[in-house]
Amino acid sequence: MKRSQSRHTALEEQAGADIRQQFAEHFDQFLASSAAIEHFEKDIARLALAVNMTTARTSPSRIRLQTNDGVTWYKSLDLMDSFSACYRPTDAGTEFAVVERLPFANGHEIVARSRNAVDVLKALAHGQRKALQLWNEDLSAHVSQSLAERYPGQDMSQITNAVMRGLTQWVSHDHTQTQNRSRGIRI
Amino acid sequence: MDTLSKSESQPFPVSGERLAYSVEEAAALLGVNYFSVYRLIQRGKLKVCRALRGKLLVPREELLKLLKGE
Repeated sequence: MKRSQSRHTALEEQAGADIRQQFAEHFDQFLASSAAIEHFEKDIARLALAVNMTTARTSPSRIRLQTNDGVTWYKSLDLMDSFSACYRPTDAGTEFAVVERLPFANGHEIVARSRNAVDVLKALAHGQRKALQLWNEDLSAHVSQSLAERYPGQDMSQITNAVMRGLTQWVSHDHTQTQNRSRGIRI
Repeated sequence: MDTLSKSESQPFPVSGERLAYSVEEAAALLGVNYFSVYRLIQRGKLKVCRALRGKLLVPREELLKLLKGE
């Protein structure tokens, strides 16, 4: 039997439990963000339709916002976190954008823009996935270092891999492997 | 993801300030959640360094630039 398929030793089991406890808040936030992205991806078609429908509004109470490049948009929908979908009429037709409002920044920043509402929403989802991957890599490095400090001289790479595999099983392979979600991050 | 070249990073700390922060610390300083910081890094809005084992470090100078809107 390969080492990667073998049962963990008592020390490794303890290390895994320690890590789960130490990084519980991080893992929870990571999984919550992953779930939010997955939900958003599944909802893109419906959201795009809703965004397109808001472009027909002519009410003077439409919310206007200005992005950092000086362009004025009409707010369409609030999306996940601090993102909003926006639109603006132009001579060449309606233009769509996803903008982000950060508490420390002045104004709104454009994340994606296109003539197609679906495209800007997909661009947001793609960027979110890439950011999630970055988070995963950073988390893995922290877990690895913590294990090295707690268990000097021990090879704890199996535990790092097992813990991170639990997180990535339903994150990095699109959202088709949702059945792995229930496995959580147990090793 | 943008990372700093050696020539861009400051060689010495200024007046005892820390040179860099973890993503968790940077998030606390900016008043946002962790994921917002990773998004900023991914979009190239915040430059980072790689430390031991590949951990991300956010240089203090880059945080200040972001806050000033540079």
